[in-house]
Amino acid sequence: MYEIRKNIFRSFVGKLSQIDWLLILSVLFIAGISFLTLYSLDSDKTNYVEKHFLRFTLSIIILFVVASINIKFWYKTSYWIYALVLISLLLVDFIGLVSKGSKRWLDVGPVNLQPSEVMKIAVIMALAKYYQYLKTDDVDKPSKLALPIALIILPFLIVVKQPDLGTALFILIVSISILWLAGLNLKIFTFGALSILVLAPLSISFLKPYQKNRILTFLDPDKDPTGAGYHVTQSKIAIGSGGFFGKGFMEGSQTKLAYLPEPHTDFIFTAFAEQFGFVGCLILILLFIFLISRINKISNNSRSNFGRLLCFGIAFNFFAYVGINIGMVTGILPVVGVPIPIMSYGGTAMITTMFSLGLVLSTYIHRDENIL
Amino acid sequence: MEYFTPKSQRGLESKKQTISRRAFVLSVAKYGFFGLLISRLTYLQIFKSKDFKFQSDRNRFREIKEIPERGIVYDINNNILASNLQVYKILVYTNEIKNLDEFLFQIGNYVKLDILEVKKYKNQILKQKRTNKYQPLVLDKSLDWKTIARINYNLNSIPYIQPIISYERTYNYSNQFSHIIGYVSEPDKKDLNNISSNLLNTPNLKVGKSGLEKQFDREIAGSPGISVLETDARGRQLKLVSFNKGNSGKNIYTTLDKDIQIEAFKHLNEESGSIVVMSTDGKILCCVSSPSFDANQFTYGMSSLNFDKLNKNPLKPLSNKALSSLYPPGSTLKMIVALSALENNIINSNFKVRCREKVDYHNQTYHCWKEHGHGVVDLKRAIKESCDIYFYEVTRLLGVDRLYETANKFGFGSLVLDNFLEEKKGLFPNSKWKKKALGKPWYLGETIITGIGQGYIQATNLQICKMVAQIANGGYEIKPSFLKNDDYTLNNKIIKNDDHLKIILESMNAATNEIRGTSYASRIRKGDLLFCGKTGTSQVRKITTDQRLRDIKNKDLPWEFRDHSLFTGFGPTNDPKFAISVIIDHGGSGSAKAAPIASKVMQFIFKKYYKNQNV
Repeated sequence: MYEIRKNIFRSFVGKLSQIDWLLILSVLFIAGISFLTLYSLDSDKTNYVEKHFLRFTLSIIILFVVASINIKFWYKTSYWIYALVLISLLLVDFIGLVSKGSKRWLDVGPVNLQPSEVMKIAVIMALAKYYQYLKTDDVDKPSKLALPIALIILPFLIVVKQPDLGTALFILIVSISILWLAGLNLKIFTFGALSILVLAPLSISFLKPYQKNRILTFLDPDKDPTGAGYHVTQSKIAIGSGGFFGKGFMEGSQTKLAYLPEPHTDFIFTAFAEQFGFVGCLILILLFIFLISRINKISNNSRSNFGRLLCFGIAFNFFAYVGINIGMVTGILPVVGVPIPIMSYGGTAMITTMFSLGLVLSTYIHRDENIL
Repeated sequence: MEYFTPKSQRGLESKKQTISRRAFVLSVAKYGFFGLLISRLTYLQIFKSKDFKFQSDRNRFREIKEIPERGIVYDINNNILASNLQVYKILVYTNEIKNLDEFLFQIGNYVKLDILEVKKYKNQILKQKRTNKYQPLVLDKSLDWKTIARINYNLNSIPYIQPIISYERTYNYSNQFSHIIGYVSEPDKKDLNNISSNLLNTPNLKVGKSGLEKQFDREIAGSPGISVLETDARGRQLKLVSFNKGNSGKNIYTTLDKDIQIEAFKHLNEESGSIVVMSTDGKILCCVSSPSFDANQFTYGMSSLNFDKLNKNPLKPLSNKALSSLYPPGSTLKMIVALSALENNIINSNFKVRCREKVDYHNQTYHCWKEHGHGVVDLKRAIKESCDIYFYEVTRLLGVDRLYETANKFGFGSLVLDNFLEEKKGLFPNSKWKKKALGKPWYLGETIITGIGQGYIQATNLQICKMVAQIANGGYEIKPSFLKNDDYTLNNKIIKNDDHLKIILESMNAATNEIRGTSYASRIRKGDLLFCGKTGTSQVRKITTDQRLRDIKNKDLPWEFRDHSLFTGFGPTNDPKFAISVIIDHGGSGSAKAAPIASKVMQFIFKKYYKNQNV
């Protein structure tokens, strides 16, 4: 018994010693920036930084555990994980917690889990598994397209119904990136893009009033600066007033004086940008770019297509998070409630992010192994 | 199972390449998007940074200007005429309000508002939000201290408002001084251009609209205190960032004597007219216009109905008649005509004319006011009994241009005061003026009627009073003013020969204190101190031959066609210290209306200023 435990421990340590420490380092840097920003936002009544630190610590343990598990295991369980998340998504519909007019959370013990957040990774896993052995010639066949489309559309519809259009679209975009990587014919993409252009105005009529409002506000945020456009306007003021070097640590008047809504979650980049200015933002973005390119590299070095697709998918997922979040707080994208990974205060997103990085590192450690 | 996990190994190598190729394309897109984000940040944080910093500060700080106390206006004996009343008001930061109904409901917890007020404030707030959203709105409701204390205590739960201490201008004698001190009211666009810039955006700011309030607005206004508060997005105050104490406006020490002013106003008895009293060295002691209005009403917001009433009243209560109504001086000008003729050696004191009630010049008949005429009159009698025929002849000999010179020296046709908004300068004609203004040559007939103060001449009551003061003080030029600290020493003499003036003074004395004088009935009968003066009855319209034949009396005419009643004089006669001029609009003859009022006011002055003498 002891021997087995010792072996497991040995192999665990052995595997971790092969980890891509540069990737971990960039994650730590980003987390450090997050703690700093949350600290500046904390008041007597809140304790974001401590909670975030605990979550981060917990998540990084999860990361190491996931990383040490053989990629074969993740390959085998991909559909099961997907199914589990899909079921919990359905569960949200029945027993979910209602917040701000939409059901998104499941109450599981100490944390409120947001299955739609986990779905972003689960769908990547399922699709990566599906395309692992599918021949390039078969990719475009309608019969071979049926399953992946079902894998994508199912969670999409459920999340739209919550309603959480932002996350739903997010799942869609990430999934499509996998289809792209899998080699789906360019014509199909062109056709898809065209049909979206045609259908978009039509689908707007199905949107909830607040969602329509968001889109309209995005088009002209100054039209109603105290209403729906308020967030974007205030966020732009905060970022812009930061200037080149920023107002300085703890000097972010905009964010501190509550001119910004939820500066610790979706708008944490704003809070950071106000205090640390253009220089700070540049460093942060470069950190993310470094992290993403690191994942891409791991992806390229993977022997299995599953590993490659998974990592590229996760890299794209990362990119989409960061890009949409910064785009949204700087006013070039509508406010859709996408957090910025590692930085934003929030449990599910943190765990999911670290889980996905764990998958990446597992791919890295087991890069030379065949799936079967 | 085969469908879900295809096991074929073929084509996998090419698949790897496909993935890599496509991943590369995706990466390029990703970095492109990051590039876009960075350029967006460059735009926001580098190029637009200044604008956003400004907006951020405006978000963060709430600047409140505290209205300064307006300077206090004192009379000559340091009695307060205008001061400030402390009031409590609330400011509403309209641009921060998100739910107006909820806000008004919250306010309603502290301040009782009826339905109409709620509606009114709602409209005001919405209007302010549209037009001037970065400036707070002052609710035009004065609150008591208790309410303010409650609001202050609960300030955290009722955001978007700020209780303030403010001042409202208050006039101690609401009617008597309304014209001369003026009134204050909310500034209009023109006022905003004139006031000093640091007063801009001061809540509850009122500016002088007329009178001394207007003339000295910049001095009286003071400078506002400024406190800067840091607030959060909900308008809750976090801390006082800075505070600059303002300065009260400069006090104004006037030469006005509140007692004389009140007494004079009393005697005007709501009739249309004005009284000016000045010391013979130029201190204006009284300048009252009637009927009047309550200046305090403007401060506290006058209803449009009340304002309409004032504006449409035919007796024109809003106009300052002492300075802005223009009259032909009538017979009160005769002293100047006589003096001019003497100074220009046209006549001497023995010059005589026979008055046969009428006289013809160039086939035009000119009348004396007295039926059957005065007979042979000399200068003294001509002034004393106000013979028109005598002055027709003197003026004919003198000519209008020489008369103009003298009248000009005595102040006709030019402003008495500096920069007093309401004052008019009137007109004293000469031949050159007519040519220029009307393009016609001067006619002799015009000279003749100018000699009895009719025709083109237009003068204010203040000018007439200044004229008589300069006669009474021995012919010295004065610069009348309302300000106690001005220089009132006499220096420039405007006459050549004191003897000439002496004749005039004697004649005026005779007019009041000798039998058959025009104002003999109004002489001061009791005491040692006497006063004297010249009556005037100035025509508003030309008397037609028909009317003269039908012997139409002045009192039978409609009010606006009746003669103006004038009297101007001085006292005490032996040592002139006070000059007075009374004009009652369309009051009839000078001796009947204006002279008795002047007499009463002068008696009051004697009683006040000569306590030790038998008055």
